Amino acid sequence: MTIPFPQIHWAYLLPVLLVVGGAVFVLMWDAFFPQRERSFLVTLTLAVLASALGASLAAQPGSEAASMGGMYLYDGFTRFVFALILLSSFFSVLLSAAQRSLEEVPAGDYLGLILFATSGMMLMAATRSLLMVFVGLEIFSLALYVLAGFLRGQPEGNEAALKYFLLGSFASGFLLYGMALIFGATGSVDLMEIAQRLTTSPPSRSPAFLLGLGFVVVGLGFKVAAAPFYMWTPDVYEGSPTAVTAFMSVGPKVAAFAAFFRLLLAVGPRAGAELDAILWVMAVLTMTAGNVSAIWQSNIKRMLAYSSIAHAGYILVALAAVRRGSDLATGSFLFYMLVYALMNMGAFCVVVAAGARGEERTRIEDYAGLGYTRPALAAAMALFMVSLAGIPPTGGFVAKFYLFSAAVKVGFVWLPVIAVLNSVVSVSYYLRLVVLMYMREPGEAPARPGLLGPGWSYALAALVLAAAGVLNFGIFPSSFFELALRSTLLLN
Amino acid sequence: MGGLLSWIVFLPCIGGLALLFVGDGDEAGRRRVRLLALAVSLATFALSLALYSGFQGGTARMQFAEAASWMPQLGIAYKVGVDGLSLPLVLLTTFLTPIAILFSWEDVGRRVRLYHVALLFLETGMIGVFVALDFFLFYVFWEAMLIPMYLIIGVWGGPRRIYAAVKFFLYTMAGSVLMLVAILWLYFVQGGQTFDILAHLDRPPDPAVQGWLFAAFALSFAIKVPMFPFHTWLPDAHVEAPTAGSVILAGVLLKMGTYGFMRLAMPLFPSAARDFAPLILALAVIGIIYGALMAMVQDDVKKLVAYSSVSHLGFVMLGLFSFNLLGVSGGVLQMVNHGVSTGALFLIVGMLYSRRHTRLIADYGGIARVAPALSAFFVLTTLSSIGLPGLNGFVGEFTILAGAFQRNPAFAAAGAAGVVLSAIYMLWMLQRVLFGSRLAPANENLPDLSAREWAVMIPMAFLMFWIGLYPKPLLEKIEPSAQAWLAQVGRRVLRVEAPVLGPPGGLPLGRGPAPRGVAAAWMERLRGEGRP
Amino acid sequence: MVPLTHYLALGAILFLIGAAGVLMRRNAIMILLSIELMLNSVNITFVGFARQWADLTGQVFAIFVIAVAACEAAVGLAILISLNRDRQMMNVDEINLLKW
Repeated sequence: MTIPFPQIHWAYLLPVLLVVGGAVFVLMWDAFFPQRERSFLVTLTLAVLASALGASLAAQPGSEAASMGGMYLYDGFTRFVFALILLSSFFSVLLSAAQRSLEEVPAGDYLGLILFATSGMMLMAATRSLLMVFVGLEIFSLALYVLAGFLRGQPEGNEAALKYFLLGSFASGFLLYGMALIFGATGSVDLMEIAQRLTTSPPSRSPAFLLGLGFVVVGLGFKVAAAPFYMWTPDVYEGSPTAVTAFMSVGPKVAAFAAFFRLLLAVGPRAGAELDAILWVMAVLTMTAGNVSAIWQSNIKRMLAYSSIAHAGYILVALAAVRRGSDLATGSFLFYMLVYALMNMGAFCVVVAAGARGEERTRIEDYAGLGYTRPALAAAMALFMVSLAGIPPTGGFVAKFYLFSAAVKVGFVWLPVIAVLNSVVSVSYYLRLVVLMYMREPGEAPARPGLLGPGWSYALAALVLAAAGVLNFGIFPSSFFELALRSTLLLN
Repeated sequence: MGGLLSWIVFLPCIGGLALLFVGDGDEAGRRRVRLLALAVSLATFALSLALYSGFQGGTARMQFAEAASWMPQLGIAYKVGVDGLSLPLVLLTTFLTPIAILFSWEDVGRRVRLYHVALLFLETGMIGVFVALDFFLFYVFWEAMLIPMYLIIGVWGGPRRIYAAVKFFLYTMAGSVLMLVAILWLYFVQGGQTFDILAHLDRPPDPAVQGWLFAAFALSFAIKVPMFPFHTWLPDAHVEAPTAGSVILAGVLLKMGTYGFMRLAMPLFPSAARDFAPLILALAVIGIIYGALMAMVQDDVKKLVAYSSVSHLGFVMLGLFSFNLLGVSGGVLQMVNHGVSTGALFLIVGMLYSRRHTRLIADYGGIARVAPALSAFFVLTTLSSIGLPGLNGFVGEFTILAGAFQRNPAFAAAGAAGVVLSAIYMLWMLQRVLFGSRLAPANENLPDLSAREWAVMIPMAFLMFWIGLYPKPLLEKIEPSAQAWLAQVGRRVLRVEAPVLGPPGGLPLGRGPAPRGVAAAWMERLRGEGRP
Repeated sequence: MVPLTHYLALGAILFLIGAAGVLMRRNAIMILLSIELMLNSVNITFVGFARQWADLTGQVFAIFVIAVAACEAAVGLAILISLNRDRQMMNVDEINLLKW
């Protein structure tokens, strides 16, 4: 008996291999040469991420997209999602280098974990197999559990790590049980085969299948922080180091939503109206809960946590649209994620840059008068807030516009109406920050302690990149939207 | 890019960006900022004068139209153009911005650079709203101008400025987001796969759904106007805003609401507009009377002027929803008039405030004796605002009332009552502030107009006289577009609602091409009779 | 021959016990163990279905789950030890620096 060696397209695998290889290298380098400058490792990590980005942009997806029997799938969607994940990792490395409280941590371990998490996210997004979805999810989750508690001296960090770990594993349990039931109902863990079996011998109405799908939705809902499974988010976001929080608010969401997308495209059209209703309710609950809770926050990281929950709600609108077969949904989802990554990273970057060693500016009140003590930083923050609120001429508006277009196109009316009303609610807390920064006098704030730390150039780079992106996507979104629209999924 | 219209739209924005690189740390720097901002706004005004002189009368076509591809995936394009309905408003905007900048010269001393950047960005947003011919573009400008206005109120405003700014922002935004969904619905469901406004005007949607769509559009515009039940943000915003902010707010921003009705909500959904007309007319009349009554009981001058805006904008709505040529032409004219008169009123209130730091009517009295020039302008502006023949307000109000009379005499009667009320509260206010025997000691050394204030008031006064005495050139440019608009909106309306009573001379009521400016002729006749 | 339903029932019962344990137990170690129980119930379900379909994928999946569970236990215990060193406690109700 011979075992056929599965076909492997190395060019398609290269981005993941680069990231994993980079992770091992960074980890080992620090172990063998611990005296080296921290900035060297940071530069190396950035170079690894950039080269992985270059490799994934260079690899044009062709007809031979599926490697290793569908365990690894490289289509246009994968390519765009890779770019998103790598971008968010790139940003979080910049932020980590800029954050003063992270200056003392062992750089090799930290950066290695970020790279491992990145590889896990990439694997989760680039597969047809539920098994790989699970493995990818665990790779990045385990890395993030550790990263959340990386500042061991801080009790909040430890607490955040424990909460994240317990609830994340709990969610994994649900996800796995759901996968087991789907496997039981269809006899496969490959999404393509599952879709085929659903059409040929329809067990799609079988209780095991629906229950399994429900459990998987619960598990993924935990990971993307959708209602009613978002409770962990504010605590974990608040307790983790800000740079890690920024990473958590973008990377895992991209990966989990990507997997969600593939799942829905495979089983969605055959799963019936129940799924429609579930997604509808989830989207509405998520955005409403996020926006309403965000209003009352006094800590900026918690506020941004609830804001990211609300944005997950908007993205669920795209999922509902894709379930109904909206051809705009994939493109608008990818574009939304791109803009969301930039504006959210940008906002967290301001939080990092506004802080100083030992005292982070995490209370919203701390931002009073920032517009006059540090005008450029405040202007950037205002831009990101305006964009998060979805007001033109920023990327946030265009992204929302595309997203709601996708929903209206397939006949949703109330969903976009509720979503736009939610944006109005969100304006109130995003603008609160603008009010504080520009309409209050600065408090007893020390003149300008933080920014000129050794990491200021990293913060500056991240801020400029994010702000330029947000503005560019607000005014000239066309070319990237075209790219997102063409990044279709290869599935059936 | 490169057309005249695009330059008018984006020149202020470019100027604003350039301002960001001018330091305002010392007095010389602040002076540079002010000069540059003034130069940019004057250049914009000069360009818009070129637009005015190049504008062909006698046609309803979109002129100076430009189009460029923007987001081809969704059929979104950069399309701008002006016709007779938008031209006066563009001019009004470019006219009022330099005035506002000039007035702020000494009024705004803090954060000068940010202020002028916001003002110039605001100008781009406002002009953009008036010239956009693509839904997406329109919406972008519509929302984008919220932020500079929000900052202007919130940073340089009065004691309750933050409350007023947030209220302004949330009200406007809450109204407009539903319009966004309606626009998307039009795009996908109505078909055509285009955001081109003109293309949609040719294809009104099924009457069954027009009601919802009209409601979504109308809500956002009604909040902006503001129509009666949605007006509560206006007094707050006006009272708290710095003077220049109030001028822009009253002069231009409110017009965006009425313009929205005129450009989008009514012609897009004619049958729904007809169904909603009684409601809107009733609200307009309530607004006229309510605004006037509220103005009457105010003891704060600025609040009084703010409520008078509610009343005057009710007139515009009354004119538009009369569905006849007189009403519409009058409505357009009244938009400009209100911008000029109320803008000037706010300027004068600002001048008083900068002298005495109070806006309470009771603190004044007898001002005419110490500041004759200021008082003269105050009287002139007030008379223009209440519609004295020979000044601008009269032309607009009278045309509107004549139009409303054709449609329904009851509404016209209520509107006329509003005119009387407005005369009462305005003159009463005038009497208490300027005249009266008692001159408070604090007012004894009140300085008269400075050179800068003269420079601000003279153009305003000139405009009041010009529109009042010789509106013909302006009306000739408005007229053809108003007729075409009426043909669009009125087609279905006039057929079912014949005029109750014709005006003297039996005007053709917008049916068929009028030989020459009907409203202009009507106006001339009215004024001929009015003069001794 | 044990029928499939027995495997499934056992899996479901264990899963429920595990989930209930996570929600009701207050000791962090017990919660960790309950999560392990949930993962193992998944394994039983997978293996049962694998036999039903005569498809090894289910068993492969189970092996992956076992491996991942080990990693999770390692990371989880590490976090717990770190927290315990810091604050000398194991009860999740006392973990209240952040609003729960």
